Amino acid sequence: MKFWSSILTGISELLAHKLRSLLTMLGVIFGIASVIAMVSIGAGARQEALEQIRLMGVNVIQINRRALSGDLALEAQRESPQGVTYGDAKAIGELYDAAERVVPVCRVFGEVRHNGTAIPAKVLGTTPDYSRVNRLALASGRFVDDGDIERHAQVCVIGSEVKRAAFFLEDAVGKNLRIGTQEFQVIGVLEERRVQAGSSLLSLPDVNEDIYMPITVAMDDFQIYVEQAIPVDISGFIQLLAKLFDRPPLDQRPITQIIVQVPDESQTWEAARVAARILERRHKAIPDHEIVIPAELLRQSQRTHRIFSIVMGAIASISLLVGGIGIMNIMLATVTQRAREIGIRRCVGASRSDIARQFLLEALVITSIGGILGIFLGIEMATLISQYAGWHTIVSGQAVLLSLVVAVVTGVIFGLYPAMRAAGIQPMEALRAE
Amino acid sequence: MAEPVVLAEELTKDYATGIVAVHALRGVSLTVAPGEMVAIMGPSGSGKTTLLNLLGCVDLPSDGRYWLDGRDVSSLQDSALSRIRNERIGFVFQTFNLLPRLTALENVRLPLLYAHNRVPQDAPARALERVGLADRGHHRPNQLSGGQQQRVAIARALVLDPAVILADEPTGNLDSRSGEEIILLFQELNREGATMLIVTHDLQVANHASRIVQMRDGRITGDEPVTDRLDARDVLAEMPAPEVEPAKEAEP
Repeated sequence: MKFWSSILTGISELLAHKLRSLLTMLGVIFGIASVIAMVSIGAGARQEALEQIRLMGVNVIQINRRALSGDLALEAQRESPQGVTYGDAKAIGELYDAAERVVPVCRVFGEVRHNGTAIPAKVLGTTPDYSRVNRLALASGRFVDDGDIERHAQVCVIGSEVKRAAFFLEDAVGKNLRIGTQEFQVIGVLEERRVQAGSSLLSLPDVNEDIYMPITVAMDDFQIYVEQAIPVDISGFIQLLAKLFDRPPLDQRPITQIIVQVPDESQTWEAARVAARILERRHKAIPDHEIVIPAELLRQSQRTHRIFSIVMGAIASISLLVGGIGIMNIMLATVTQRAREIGIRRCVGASRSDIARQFLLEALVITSIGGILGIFLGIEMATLISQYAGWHTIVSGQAVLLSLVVAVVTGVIFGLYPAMRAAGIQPMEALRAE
Repeated sequence: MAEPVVLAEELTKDYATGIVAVHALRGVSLTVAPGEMVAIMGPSGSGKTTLLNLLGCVDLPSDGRYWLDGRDVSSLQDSALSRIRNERIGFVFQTFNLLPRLTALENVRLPLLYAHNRVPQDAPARALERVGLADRGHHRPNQLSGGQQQRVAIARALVLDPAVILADEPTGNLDSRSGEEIILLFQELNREGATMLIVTHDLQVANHASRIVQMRDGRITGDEPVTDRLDARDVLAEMPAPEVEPAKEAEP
């Protein structure tokens, strides 16, 4: 019997019992949807890991400033009033030999303007190593160098988004940008960096809206802006002036972050331990900082993803098993119900294998249609997971293909026995049965 | 004498039902020449249906040999037997056995689905025309009268031009007039050269055949030509005209 006429017979059988067919398909639909969701989450997690490795590497740790409150804040005021400082960064660099690079970062909360228009940007003061640790690429100009830091040069490097907002298509290098109350000369523009959505869980900076300046400048004149807005009232203004005249030495000035890079990922734990010990001593055990290990975050995130994948895999297997048994059950009932048809077909020349093929194809039609519906549901599920769990999911052609294969295999496994039963029916007995 | 269409030698068939073995056929030999119309008669349990199954290649004999159209088919595999059924045998049943979801034409086309050789595309339509139902091709079985359904079944049996037509109580489910019309069709086909084997317990039907084979207890007990053969045309002429047209008027 021809392949297509078997398929058509299968489809007309399905259409003759629409509700029954849909109910039969449910298990396959959910099973396949779970397969799609599982594979998509796995692919998303893999992508996230690759992204982290591509953009920053996993051989770094970050020491972040942490705001304290209540009694701890009072104690901190007394024991370690500046929190994480430039001196801390230098101390880690000196005391921890394995560190490849130690990069201090000082966030500056000044308004960025160009020709009077405010430009959304994140302003950071840092050292030349920052561009190496973060693997920044320049589209034009150069990055902040040691000379700039030495001279306290009023220069800055801007991200591609900042450049677009401030200068649009013009060449930005050499032009001025107003940050806070001062003019800065643009010395470099970064290449645009595409960061995949969903990587937000990790500590990947979005560099396109960043502005970098020498850390010394950030600490000098923008110290006052660190973690506070421009004062609006008189007392704030006086405080500001007082701070301007009462600058602590460079080493004691607060910064927002220290990035420590080690040669290999395996050393990140050790780096974290050493840095923690150094800071504990220098800060008199005040917990005004936190240490982040991106490699560890990544690992945790991967673990969560994996657990979810396993759960989805279990749901997929159970649904497919139950769905497959449902199909087998219906097909067996159908075989009994359609014994006369089988008898007729056998009498006009269908061989046992013709009959077996017809029933197997009918099972395949059920699972394939269920599989296709399941793929749509699975894509929907993946989208929902992206939205609510904030995970990155990728529905790939491979996942769709895999699901179809799984659907077909399910059809073969659970359609085979009913098909063999159908083939074994004695034609004359079937025709005699009323 | 031409080579026989059916040549059966000492066919036996035993069924093992639980502990007791049933000997359905105990050595049946039968020869049917081309163009014969043979009626097989006998009470129930005489083994006539079993014989028909063996001759129709839907079952294999426990012992004995069977040549159909000169070919030994008593030891063929399922796929080869299926091909023989498809190409050499046309079945007609008491209960018509049409597929209810298919139209008349699609039912007639059914054997073509399993055909190995190319068959002219118009074969089903021509077969329907031959049985006088050219205008009923798109009707479903439930829109046809019993006699019409049996004609569709006969068209299905004819469509691949078989060597022999095997009919099992073909008039059993029909009123006497429709039954006689079916017999008339058989006689016409037979005159055109078709070889037919008809299982029946109705002597009136059997008397239309050219030869009657009697069976009892799995053996042939009599085999004689019909001396006073009935012609269905005469029988129909003597029947009172039907008061109402028995055919259900089909919805378009």
